[in-house]
Amino acid sequence: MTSCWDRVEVNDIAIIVGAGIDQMDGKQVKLSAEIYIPVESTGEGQESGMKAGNGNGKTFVSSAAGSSMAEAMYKLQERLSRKLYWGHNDIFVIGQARAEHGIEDDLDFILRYVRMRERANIYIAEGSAVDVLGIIPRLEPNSMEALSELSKTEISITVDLKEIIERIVETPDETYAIPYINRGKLLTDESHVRNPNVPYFRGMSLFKKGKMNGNLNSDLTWGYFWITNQIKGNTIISLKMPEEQTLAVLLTHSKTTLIPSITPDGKWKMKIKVRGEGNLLQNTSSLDFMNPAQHKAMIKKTNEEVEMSIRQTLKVLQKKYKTDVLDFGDRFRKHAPKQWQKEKKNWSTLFSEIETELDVEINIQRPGILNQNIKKMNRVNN
Amino acid sequence: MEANAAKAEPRISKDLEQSRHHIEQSLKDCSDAAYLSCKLGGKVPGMFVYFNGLTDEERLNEIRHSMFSWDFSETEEWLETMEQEVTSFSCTRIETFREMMSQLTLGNAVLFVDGSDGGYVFSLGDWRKRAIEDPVAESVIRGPREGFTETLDDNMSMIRRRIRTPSLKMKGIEIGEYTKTRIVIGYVEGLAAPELIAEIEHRLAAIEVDGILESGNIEEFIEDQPYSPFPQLISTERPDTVVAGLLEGRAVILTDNTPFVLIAPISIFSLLQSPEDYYQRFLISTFIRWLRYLFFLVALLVPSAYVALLTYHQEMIPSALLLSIAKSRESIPFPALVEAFIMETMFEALREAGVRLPKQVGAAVSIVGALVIGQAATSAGLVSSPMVMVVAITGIASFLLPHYSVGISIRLLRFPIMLLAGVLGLLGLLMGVIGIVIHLSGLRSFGVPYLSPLAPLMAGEWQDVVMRPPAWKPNRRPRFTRSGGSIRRTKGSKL
Repeated sequence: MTSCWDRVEVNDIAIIVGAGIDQMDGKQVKLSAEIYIPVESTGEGQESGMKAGNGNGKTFVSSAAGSSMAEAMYKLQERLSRKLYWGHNDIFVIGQARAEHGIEDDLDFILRYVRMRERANIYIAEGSAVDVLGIIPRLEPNSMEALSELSKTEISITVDLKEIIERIVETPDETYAIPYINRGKLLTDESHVRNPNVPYFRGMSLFKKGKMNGNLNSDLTWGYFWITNQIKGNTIISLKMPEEQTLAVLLTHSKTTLIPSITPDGKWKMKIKVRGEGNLLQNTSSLDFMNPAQHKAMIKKTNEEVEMSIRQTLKVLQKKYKTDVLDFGDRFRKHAPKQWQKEKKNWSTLFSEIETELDVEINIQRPGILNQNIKKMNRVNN
Repeated sequence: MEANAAKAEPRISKDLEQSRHHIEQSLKDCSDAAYLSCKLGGKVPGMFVYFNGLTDEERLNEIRHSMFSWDFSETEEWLETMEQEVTSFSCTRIETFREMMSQLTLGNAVLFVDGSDGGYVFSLGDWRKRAIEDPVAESVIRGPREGFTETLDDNMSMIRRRIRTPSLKMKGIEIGEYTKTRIVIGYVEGLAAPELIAEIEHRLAAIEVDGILESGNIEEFIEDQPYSPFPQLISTERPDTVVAGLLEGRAVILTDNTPFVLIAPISIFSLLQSPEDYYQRFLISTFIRWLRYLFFLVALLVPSAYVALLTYHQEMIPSALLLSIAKSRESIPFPALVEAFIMETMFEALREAGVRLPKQVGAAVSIVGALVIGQAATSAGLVSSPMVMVVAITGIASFLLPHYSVGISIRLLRFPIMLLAGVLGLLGLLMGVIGIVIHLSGLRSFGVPYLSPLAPLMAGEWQDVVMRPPAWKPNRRPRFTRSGGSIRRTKGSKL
């Protein structure tokens, strides 16, 4: 119930644009919040445009530690003159140490507290979360924007709190994957214009029973995206070619279907069917797009590349981590509910033994504007 | 009062001197009363009475001269001969001084003749009047350019010219103890419900005032619910609007000395329609109608919604927008509600100043206004720039409504809703809206539900509200008319 005694003016709130959770010594948890500083841009706009990043998107990070999230938040509030405002917080970054320690307590608090957004994105940071929050990116006004925009591109995916809670409820071992990020270099100074920026996105963190148990690196993450149908358009498949040849395909769209089956003798099988379309992006190989036979070879190579990527990921997930972040469990539940009920207690062991069958077909439809290989064209002219 | 007058009503006497004495007594201290003696047929003394400036004196002199040459023989019947002669000037005979007064004030001249116990009225009314001009308050791009004037007879002629059938009735009455203002109730017989006309006549007859200066004076007397902020009659200065109303079976009330004519009964949707809706092509008109409905809501609700969101529901504002609002509000000392009130009040004050000021000073107001609601107010730190935007949009929106009377109602209602939104957030805003809807549902205009034809839903009629149907589509008359809901045209009328 709102009424005038509950009135909160915009001037009285500290708008949090990103939050970080870190593990401290002695079971303490550190909550950091990136808070927006509403500084009015002085002058008529044109003059203030001189200093880029100034005025617009100024933030600061404040942290507090406590035995629990609730206590940490209370302590954090003590240090601020304005009321903490979580309603616009779109980003939660969890430090690696905290993730390995377990994040169930934190999730409980975040999802229970009414002011929080359940559609907030969640990330695991290499090192500590508070370092990620401090970053002022060159392209976006603050780190929150940078991360959520990054998640929209083809190299990463968005995982929000709602999806995690769904996975916790639906999977027997509470398995899920969260994007794993690097804090990059602290590029806060203007002199760093030409310094290379370390990529933020580093792969996926794997969680099992509320604890992080491993990482997929960038390469393995491709396989993960392929299996879970999260490959986005504009993805580039660069093929491994002999000698100094290159062949790259720009994917326009793709669809992955998982087809579960249980053989009469009790073997659980999963068929991974991938269908996709792409255009040629680069070709300095000996293969000619216009030659049907070579075109087929080209497609075959592409399919092999994708298959290899998927196999690698499957191997790591099934044998090394025994963590089903691929939704296999859900497919089997829908396919054979009775058997699933029986087997779901020891799903992790069963998952590691599932036989997989790959069926990849990626069609390369267009050669791009250039029909022929540049080297070949030379040969013709001379 | 009437009984009293009938008893002591002095009649015109045969003796010219006695009549003259009586007239001079009653018109004492009326310096604009004029007396003009004449000799009928060179012998019989007579006298014209009239008011300077109201009567065509040139014409009067012509008549006077021609009278001089009348040939009266020395018989007893000279009176009859005279009366016959006079009739050729389309004269009417009156018997009492009361009648004389009402004729004089219409600009007519009254002739008294020695030996006759009657007065002869010459219709010579010719006073200075405004030319027919563009209707100022309701301009259209396409449509007739003439507007009503202050002269009742001209106004009636403008309507008569458009409805050339004897079914158009114009009933005249007089209201006002002193002004004796002429009021005309116009309707089309066969279209308007007789009960409606009877009701209007009944309500008009009950008015007892010293004077009627404008149709607004009448409007307040005959409204169903005088305490409602919504107008229950349309006032318009456009003859085409009036005629459209007549053809829909409505009644119109014309008042002398004002160009504003009242139309009744109406619903809220009549107030949101412009005559031009029917002159432009129907697609365009439909679009403009939707635009008008949208901005009706904008004018009513946007400042309140802004206040509610900013003080209670910051979650509902897109993140990037909230950050920029926070930035611009940082140095504002007032709560959002106070800020909104300051700006809205300033805007209303400026608008009113713009209306009242003489045209020469008007430019100054717009310059000052641009400074007050604009850059200067923002840089002075009094209001934030998003609030300036909100006020400007609201202002524009309220001017989009084709009838000033409903625009001003909306502007008035905006303030209580703003207060509710500031106290209870969106909940308060919703309470305000629900309150208005409840009030509108109960409101009647001469017995016709104010929200009709949407509530109660009248199939076939709501088309003209939701959109502007093509002119060749079958079209029903409003249900309150005599031929209630009959189809005006059939499909066959479009080739």
